[in-house]
Amino acid sequence: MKSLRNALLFIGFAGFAMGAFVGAMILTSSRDSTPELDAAVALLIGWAFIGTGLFAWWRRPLNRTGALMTAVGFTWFLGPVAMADVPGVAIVGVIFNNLAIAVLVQLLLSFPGGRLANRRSGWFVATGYAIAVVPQLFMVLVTPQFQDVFSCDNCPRNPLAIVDNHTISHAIILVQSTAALIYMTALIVMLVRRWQGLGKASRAAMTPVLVTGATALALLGLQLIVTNIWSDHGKAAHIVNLADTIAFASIPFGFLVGLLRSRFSNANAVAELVADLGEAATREVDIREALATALGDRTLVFAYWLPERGSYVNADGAPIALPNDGSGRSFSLVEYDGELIAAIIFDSALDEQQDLVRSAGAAAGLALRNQRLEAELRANVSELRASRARIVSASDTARRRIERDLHDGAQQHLVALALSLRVARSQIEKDPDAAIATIDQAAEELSTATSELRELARGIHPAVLTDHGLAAALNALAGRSPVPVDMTDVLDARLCAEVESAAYFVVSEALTNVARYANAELVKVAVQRRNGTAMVSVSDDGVGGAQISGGSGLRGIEDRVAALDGTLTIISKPGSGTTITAEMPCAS
Amino acid sequence: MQSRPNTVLVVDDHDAFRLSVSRLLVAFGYDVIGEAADGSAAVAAFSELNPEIVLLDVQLPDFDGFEVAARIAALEGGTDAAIVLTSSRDRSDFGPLIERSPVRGFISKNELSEETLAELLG
Repeated sequence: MKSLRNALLFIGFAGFAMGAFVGAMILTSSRDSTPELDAAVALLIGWAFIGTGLFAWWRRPLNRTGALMTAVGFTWFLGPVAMADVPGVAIVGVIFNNLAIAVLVQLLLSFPGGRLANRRSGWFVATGYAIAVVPQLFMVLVTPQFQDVFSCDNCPRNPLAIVDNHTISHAIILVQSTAALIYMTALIVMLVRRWQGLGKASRAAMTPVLVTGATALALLGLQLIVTNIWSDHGKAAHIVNLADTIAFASIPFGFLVGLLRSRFSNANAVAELVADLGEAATREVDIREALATALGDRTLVFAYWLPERGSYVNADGAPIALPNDGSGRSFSLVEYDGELIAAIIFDSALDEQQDLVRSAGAAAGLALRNQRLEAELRANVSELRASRARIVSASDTARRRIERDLHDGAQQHLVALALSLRVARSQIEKDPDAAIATIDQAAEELSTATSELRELARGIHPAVLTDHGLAAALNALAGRSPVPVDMTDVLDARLCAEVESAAYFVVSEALTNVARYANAELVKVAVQRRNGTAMVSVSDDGVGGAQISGGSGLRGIEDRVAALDGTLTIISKPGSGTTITAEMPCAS
Repeated sequence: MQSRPNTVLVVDDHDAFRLSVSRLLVAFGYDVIGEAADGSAAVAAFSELNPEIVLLDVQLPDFDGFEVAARIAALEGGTDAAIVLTSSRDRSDFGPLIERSPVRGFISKNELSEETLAELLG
């Protein structure tokens, strides 16, 4: 804090010194008809910006508004330097005459946070700097005397001039003035739109800034029209010039009032919010609306934390991700009773007011906890809807597969068998040996057909599961698995039919996956029942890396388990095996 | 006997069926001159072999028997051949598709015999 104060004191001293230098330049100018008045106006405006800027900088060190205000003051002093009699000094003034206005534009667009909201604003500000400085650079190359700029008779010689061409310098001034007029119109539209989008609290802070800033810019535009486009240097130009100077001088005070108001109004906003939320018990309050108003950010949204899922959902229950750095959005976590409830996602322009967002979040904690229940409910409903749709489609797929398996498998063999028997009948008298060979062929087709039917029936529902229970059915599965299966922890007791069936298909799918992908040496299957919950797990020592989203097989199993109010978890780090665990409620 | 069409192209994607039906046709006195396991092979085999009869399964891996029949009919001499559609499904499963197709007729695989074939080929 002390180093900041020293730095600010140093900047203040530099500002004072620069002002004194500029004052001296104006007072000693041989071209200025009213040097005392001009010096007083120049110093008043420059020091006002520097002084109020340093004050704002000191009070809100993280906010760049103060630094920008100070910068406007310093760059403002560059303009009057053009009055100097020394050509080398005067030329600096000519080139940077309009720089302060470009800095002011940046200040206006970044108020109150001090940072530009997005890349587009950045480009807009950069364009402003280009319009302010680039044409001046060209102008000094074509103007040997400074008459075009200051309309004086005894102007100093310009050391940088390479050509003397009045047509070109007039054209440059005309182009610059026209560009500046279009630019300032766009700027005023942008500022008014931003103001309209702000909440009550932020509007209070923005209004004095906008009124003084926009007025000064509008008068500057008028001045450009009168002096540069109409080429009037008479009374009208003087009046507009005077009005613009007064408006310009009032800007720093507008900013100061705005900054102070934003401090006070923030406190008011939270107080109002707390009162609003207090009424939430008796009437329904839109918490998002209340917070958006309090913080002046219409785009504010909540992301509710669902610990069971380990993810965030929005108010409709749809998954939502927290914003990344540099995305233009920021977030603040809301806790209640030490428990993470939600995240508030807001425009990064509010970053400077993180404290305010946090206190608003704390005020809304209880109400948000209640809303989270609703969001969770909606998330569950939409998850349920999705899983129901998946179950219907899985059942359709299964029926199609059974039809196809029957048609391509057993049915084809039976058809071939019938044909073979017909051939045998025609052979039996003429060529009994051939008939015997054909009948053997038929018998083989019959046995293939029956074994295919057996496989198919087992896939639909294994009879051993119905007749002899889960342990026997799992033993049969293990017997067919190409990877050795350890069954020592399989509970040998009957469970409810749906749970037995789901457990069987969990193990069946898991063993199929192990055989196909895991490259494992050993699989361990465990079935236990504890406190009314049946737990089935299949762990292998293979390559790992399995995911529910990886194949529809596990997704179907998950839906089947979820339909029984159970959960399916997969732990499968690459290189350290896979463990699939299903837990399902199961009263004995 | 000589007037009866005799050379047959068997089109079916099931090896077991092709084997059995070829044996059956030979036993009935037909001459099986080629076999094909899918639609495009069937069209190619037809233009090469010019069989008098095509025993054509409806369900094939690339395109179905109706499409094969249409393509064969569009070939030179394609309409002279007797195309007999067959399937392990019933005639009623295909609705009006068989009537619209340029084929001699349909015999389900269950009913495929010397008599049903002779009746259709007349």
